[in-house]
Amino acid sequence: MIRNFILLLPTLLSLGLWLQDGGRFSFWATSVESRMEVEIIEGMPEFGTQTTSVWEERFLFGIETPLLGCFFTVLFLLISISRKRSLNNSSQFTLMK
Amino acid sequence: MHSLKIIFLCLPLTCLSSMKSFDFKDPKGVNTIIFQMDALLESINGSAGGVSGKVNFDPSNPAKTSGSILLDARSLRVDNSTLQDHMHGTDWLNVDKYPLIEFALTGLRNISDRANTIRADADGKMTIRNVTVKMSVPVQLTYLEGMLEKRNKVLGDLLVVRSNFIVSRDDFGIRPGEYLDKVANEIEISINLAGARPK
Repeated sequence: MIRNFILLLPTLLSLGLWLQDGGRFSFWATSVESRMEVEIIEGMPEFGTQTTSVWEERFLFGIETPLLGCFFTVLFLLISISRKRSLNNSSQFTLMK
Repeated sequence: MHSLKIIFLCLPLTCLSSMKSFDFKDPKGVNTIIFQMDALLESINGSAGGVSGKVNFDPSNPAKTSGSILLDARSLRVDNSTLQDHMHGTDWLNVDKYPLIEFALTGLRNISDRANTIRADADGKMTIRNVTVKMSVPVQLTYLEGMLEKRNKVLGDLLVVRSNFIVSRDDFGIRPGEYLDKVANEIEISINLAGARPK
């Protein structure tokens, strides 16, 4: 049980980080854009608005994060299986001796 | 004869006098151009704030609207710094060599007028990376006479230009046919700019 949890840890952790940053289907972001609607003439919305952008330097996890997490889970799983097999083989070899 | 000469000399000046020149370098820094590229693998969104240029507009004869809107290509921003460096780099926009993107407006067609707003097709020439392409884009112009005071605390008029259009990077020789899965060929541009004419 604990072994399975450790194997799944990279996926769970990366998935959590990705979801925390909005679960965006895009790559890592190093800055965040906030778009605001500003009234063309303040206090007179009947004349329409303009969209303006404000950029903030901030890191956001992208889709690579859960993919990397999955990759490490698969990698650890393969290492664990191969270790188990090699241990089985060596124990069989000892028994045969 | 002499007075006729004066009339002929002054005639073009009289025609020009009704033309109002609007400056799009916004001291408030609100003027922003927004762009979006939806490729198969990635969607790239960004904006640019380095807008300037002048548009000559005559409310009584909008068909003669002319001028140019300039964008400082170095002000183009996306949310990933590596992607932004690539976009500004020599292989893509080469902003050091071609720092300006220009739309030179030559006139308006298919004008429909409602209250103080005009909808039309703006004919002009778009220049990106020193490649000029003739284009016609749908625009909406709103002329707000005497409203500059309420926006910038200066007496004058405002002209709001709104437009949504698409440019193809193929047309401007920006890596044509390459990386189409990551960088879409079609760039959706949305502009919503206010130009000022102080009195």
